[in-house]
Amino acid sequence: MTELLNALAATFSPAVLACLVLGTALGLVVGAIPGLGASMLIALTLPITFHMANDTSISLLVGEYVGGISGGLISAILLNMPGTPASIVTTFDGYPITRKGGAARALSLGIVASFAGGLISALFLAGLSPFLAKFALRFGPWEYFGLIMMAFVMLAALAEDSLLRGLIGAVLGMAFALPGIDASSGEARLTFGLDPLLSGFDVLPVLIGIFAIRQILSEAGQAAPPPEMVASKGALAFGRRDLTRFMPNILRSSVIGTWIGLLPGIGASVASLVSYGSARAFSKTPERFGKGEEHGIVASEAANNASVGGALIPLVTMGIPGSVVDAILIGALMIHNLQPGPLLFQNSPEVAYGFIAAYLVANFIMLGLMWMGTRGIARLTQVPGWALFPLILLFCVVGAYAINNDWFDVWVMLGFALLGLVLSFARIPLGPFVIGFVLAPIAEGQLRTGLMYSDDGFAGVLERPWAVTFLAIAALSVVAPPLLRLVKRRRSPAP
Amino acid sequence: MTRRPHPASDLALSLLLLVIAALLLGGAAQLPPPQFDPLGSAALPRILAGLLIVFALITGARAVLLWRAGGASDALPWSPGAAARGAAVLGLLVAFILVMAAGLAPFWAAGTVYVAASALLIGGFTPRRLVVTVLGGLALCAVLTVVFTRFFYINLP
Repeated sequence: MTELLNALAATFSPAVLACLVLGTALGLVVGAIPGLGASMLIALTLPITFHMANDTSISLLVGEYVGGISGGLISAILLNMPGTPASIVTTFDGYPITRKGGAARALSLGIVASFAGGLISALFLAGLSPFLAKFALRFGPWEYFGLIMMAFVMLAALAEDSLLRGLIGAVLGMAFALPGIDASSGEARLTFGLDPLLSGFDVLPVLIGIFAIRQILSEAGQAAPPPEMVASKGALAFGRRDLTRFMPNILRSSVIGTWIGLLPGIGASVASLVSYGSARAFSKTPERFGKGEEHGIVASEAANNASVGGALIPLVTMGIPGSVVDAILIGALMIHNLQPGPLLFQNSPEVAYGFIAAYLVANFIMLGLMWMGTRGIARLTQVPGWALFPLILLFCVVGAYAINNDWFDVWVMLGFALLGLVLSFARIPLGPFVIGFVLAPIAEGQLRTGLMYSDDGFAGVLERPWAVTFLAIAALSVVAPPLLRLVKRRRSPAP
Repeated sequence: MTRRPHPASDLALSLLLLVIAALLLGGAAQLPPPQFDPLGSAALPRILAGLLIVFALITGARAVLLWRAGGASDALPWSPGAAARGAAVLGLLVAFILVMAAGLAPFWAAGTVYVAASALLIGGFTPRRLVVTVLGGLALCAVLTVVFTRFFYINLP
């Protein structure tokens, strides 16, 4: 508790607070612009954080994460176009309310629900993380290997198209993490005689290429004009009566969002969909959902913001990313020579609790900025692509170059942007790719350490019940879906 | 709603996976056998290459079966116009990086020209847009130069 209070106090230092406000504001703007998202913004910002202190860089990135998820509701409600996938469900009821002239009402509900969802998941994050971290201290290399395998497979299994494509993404990501000096033997591996590859592919140019350059090239090709916005008239308002009316829905959706966020790979969009379904199931007027039901906005927005806090729990306590953005955050910590996991609470408590405090405060800042500046942010979504994209691309080049003052990083960034485009065309999800790239060295290191400690080779894993559990869940995630499909096909009558 | 991948793109993916698997196997073959740890540095590349080959065969076989069954749509996963515009934007970006890497122009000049040219390529030419983008590009390059040299002590070329 003392550490958390100290971290909260540190969050209010001028530099950290300024970074939190800036990060949240940037996140809101980028989150509100359809096509751009938190992952792109965070990847773009990483080169700058490279030169910043731990506390300010964490604040900036966490602010961007919270803002990026929350900003999506503005375009979802005013444009019927979700700024982020997490806000898709918000369009179901948000835009119908806007069309009836209730834009201000829909925005008010979305903003307050987002804030409440974030706040409730922050409480879970603060309450659960220290205990989970203590529990995870018992984990050895086999447990970590099992945990990472479970995260890989769950992410791949929940990929948008198919398990096979998700697995291809994860394995390709792991393959691109292999070049460089092997940590165990000190030999150059898969460098093909190229000296710059001795240190492997730097995580920053890879992330900028995959998330920023690829996205911009793809959007610039389409060159769609900005969508037409419905004007928001009237003041934002949320009264005590609203609080009483929506509280059960907010609580239920926030808990659903937090727990879904905890599971690797499921993410904010599924969280909002599940809580929307549950709100409809609990409703006395389920037929109104999809036609402008206020509870629909509340359920979606509370859950997608809560999933951010939920996803931060495995990240901070075990170093396992719950989403793509979390994988980028792990990359950010690694740049600062910080290894997320249970030892973070022991070795760098100011960083571990700093994450929690920054997330908590970022939600208050998000509430303030959105309440005061929604109309301004909405206007920014109307900035045309021709004005925005060249600036972002220029910034990417400068950012990649500034990492090591080396043009090799810029070419790496460009190469991964092209790879990302090819993978997108082939419908290979990029989430498993990035998580494979970030976690492969850790997984390999843990496996090799486990084998070195074990007298029985791979059978050593059988002596570790948690490792067996994680690997069994991973195996089930691969085997269960095709088996279930087969059973379903056999049960269904022949046409 | 998800779009069904075109069999041609699946065949290309299958080929790409085989090429990457071959690179992994070729690189792993050059690594010495393990000395201190039981697994060694060549094991993971070989495992991943094996998985990629399996995935490539499944993806390729599915694409061929779909094609033979006549389930292939004529539409490619991207429109030719969008692909051409995206390629042109990429070409400009590559040209900008080449100019900068070769030291042919200072950052402020190359950056301004790049921003203006890209904006006109994406949005189309109008005299007003030209003025706006040149001024915007110049301002951004000036800000980036000041931020990187004064705050991060990095000299942009």
